[in-house]
Amino acid sequence: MNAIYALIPLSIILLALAIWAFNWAVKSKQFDDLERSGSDILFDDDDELHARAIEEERKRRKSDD
Amino acid sequence: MPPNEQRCFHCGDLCPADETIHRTVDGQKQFLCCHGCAGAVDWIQAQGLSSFYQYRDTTAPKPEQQTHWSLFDNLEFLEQHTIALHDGVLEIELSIPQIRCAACTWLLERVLEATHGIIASHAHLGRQTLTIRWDPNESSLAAVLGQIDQLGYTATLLTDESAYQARKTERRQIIKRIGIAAIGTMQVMMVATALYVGEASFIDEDQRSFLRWISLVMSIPVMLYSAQPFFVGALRDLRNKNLGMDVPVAIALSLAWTASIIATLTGIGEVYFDSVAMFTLFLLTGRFLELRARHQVLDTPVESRPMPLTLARSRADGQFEQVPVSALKPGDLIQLGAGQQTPVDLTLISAAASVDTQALTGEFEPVAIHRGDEILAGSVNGSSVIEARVLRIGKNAFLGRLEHLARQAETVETPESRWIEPLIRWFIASVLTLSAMTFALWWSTDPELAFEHALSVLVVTCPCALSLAIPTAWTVTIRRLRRMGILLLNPTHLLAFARSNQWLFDKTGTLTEGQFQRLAANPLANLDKDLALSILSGLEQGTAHPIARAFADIPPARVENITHIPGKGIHGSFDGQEYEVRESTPEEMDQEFNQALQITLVRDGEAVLNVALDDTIRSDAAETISQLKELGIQITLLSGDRNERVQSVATMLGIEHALGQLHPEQKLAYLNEVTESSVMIGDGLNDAPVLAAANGSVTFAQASDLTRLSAGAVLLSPELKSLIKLRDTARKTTQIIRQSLFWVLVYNLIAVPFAMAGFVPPWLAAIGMSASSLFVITNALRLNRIS
Repeated sequence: MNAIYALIPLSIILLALAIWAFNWAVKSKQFDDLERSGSDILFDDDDELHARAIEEERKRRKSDD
Repeated sequence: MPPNEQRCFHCGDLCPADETIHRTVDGQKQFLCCHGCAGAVDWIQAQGLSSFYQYRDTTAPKPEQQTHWSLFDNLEFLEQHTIALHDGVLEIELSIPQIRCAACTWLLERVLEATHGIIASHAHLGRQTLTIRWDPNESSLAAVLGQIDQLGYTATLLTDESAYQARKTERRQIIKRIGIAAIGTMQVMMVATALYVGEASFIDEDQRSFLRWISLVMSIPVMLYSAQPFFVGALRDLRNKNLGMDVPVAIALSLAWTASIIATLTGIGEVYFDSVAMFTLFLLTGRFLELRARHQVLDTPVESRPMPLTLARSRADGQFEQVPVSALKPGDLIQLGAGQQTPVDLTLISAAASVDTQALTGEFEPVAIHRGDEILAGSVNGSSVIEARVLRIGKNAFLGRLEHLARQAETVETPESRWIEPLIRWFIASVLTLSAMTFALWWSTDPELAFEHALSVLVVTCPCALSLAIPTAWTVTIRRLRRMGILLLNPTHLLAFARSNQWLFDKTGTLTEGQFQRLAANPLANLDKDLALSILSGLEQGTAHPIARAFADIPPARVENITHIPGKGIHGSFDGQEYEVRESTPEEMDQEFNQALQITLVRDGEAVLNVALDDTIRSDAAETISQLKELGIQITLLSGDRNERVQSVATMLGIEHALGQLHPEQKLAYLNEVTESSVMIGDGLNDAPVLAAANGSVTFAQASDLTRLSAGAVLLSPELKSLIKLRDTARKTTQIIRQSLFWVLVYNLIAVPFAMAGFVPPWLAAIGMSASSLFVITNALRLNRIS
């Protein structure tokens, strides 16, 4: 039973970590738009076509300079 | 040619019948309604973003070019409306009402991501805003906004920027408090379980003390951070000599916590850390639900014509330049373009003009005015460019004065606030007295138990159920109504919607469509009627005149060289022939509709088509009125229109009481004469004061900002039948709230005597309180299921 004297204080440290992580999430606006978050996962972040279009745009701009 | 009734792939509008615009998207041929939409499709494809069309669940907005983006590169303007970050980077949050689904947020962010000089962007779906962080030295915000405008997303300044930011901070605060309370409560409860089990199985004194110390540590953030608002609120209440809900909550929390700390230090007595943490979490959740319901409504922008940010003012050299509206002063000479709305009161300098005052009065027929006449703020210029002098600005302008009148009307006490607040005060006062009595009585017989029993009384009676049940019922109702196309702005109006038997209606735009409709079209010469109508539509589409709206459903023919002579007519050529639209002469008139406005299409001097136009009664008005009357509601018609027209509409709809030719003040006076609680339904700016003063009020989405802010509910789709649904839902909600109040009463009548007699230990009191709260919440959630 003596294990609890080590493990419970350890869980308090984890608790502090959880609070810190939660605070960080709120601060970085992750809870601002509760309507949108649900559908975000459905969209591709790295659309290949789009990435190629951006690349071309960059090249064009470089050659313009 | 596109197939008949083809809808635009991009925006969903009708495609023109005589012209084909199409693009190939993902290997499929898609028809488009205009070159603006085609441009948007091209651009989206060029960016490699065509997945947008798979992601979206509504059609995209139709691109309509705005002109004055240059303001967004003006340094002075930027200083006022942006936040300066490090290294000269600026941040601005703009309102874009066209953001309709998550795909829009995806598209906007991808577009901006690819733009040079934009550092970060975030589109917010709930509030329909776009936050842009950019480097003004690298890129021009005006160019970026022009670019997304071409996609159909028109950015405007937030109308209530500081209030909105304040709401956002408030929301973030409470989410943090709830999160920490939840994490803390879970830990404390876990330890509490060990303690309860230990109690039964003879736990070591050392371990018991250790576990108590641990729960003390874990409850610190919950009490000192999460529960803070209750203590702050209670202190404020006490300072104002007021008994709010926060007072017993703060007393219960601080007593229980202090007692637990003493018990932990001395090792004698009970600890209530679990009850304290759970209590805090529950109350905060109730607060959050209430706050969210309130914010959701305040945050929802409704698409409306935004007031112009700039106007063209005359410089010393006679040229006109765009200046921000805030810089205008009375006496300035300005130019108002066709279809532009004025944000200030003006005096007309041009010889004559026609102004559309629908936003002000709800009456759609344009008003002809002459040099020296006043143009009130909110009017739209229905003629070509006019010159005018600024007469009054800001608070003194017509809009400002109406707003003042509406705000004054709003502060009048509502009948429900008269009984519900004293009731809560009375409830809290008796809870506090009963706990004190319990303490005193037990102190004289068994001092050791006095504290525990007094605490039980405090916890068991807690107005938790009250403070959770009503916000939950409101939240559910607000969502339900929203799905039905009704936006509930002020939940306190629900009571009037449910109970009031005096409903007052405005006429134009409320019971009637509020715009010209085609009653009949009669060919006068040998010409295909459909072709003639599409030519008429083509001629009308270019004008801001209200007649044009009567032809919006007809695909326009491509009429060229259109010239519009105010008061005379519109000319144009089509297929090599000259056409003209003008008012009908008496011999061309359709005798059946001699009350209505009639126009004639003329081809090369020969009259070919006669069209009769008038405002028509909404298709569901008669049915709605008769259903309302069946429910025992008395209907009154209040209108600013001419008496005979008001009477004729009233007779047609079976309304016995109808009053015409009323000013806003007279409408307000009539409302004040009605002694019972009353509901007002109207759409004009002139209805705003009455809407604000009525116990319940409803307006339409097309109404101006002020009218909407004054109303308790907004019908998003122009269906009067929604009023029946509103009545129905409101009745169910008040019924549920009544049930909850009844439950709280019964529960307290049973629980309090037991608690006072000492049969309820604090942990049982906390369970009773929670069970009671769960019961009222479940009951409120039933609203979701009732069909």
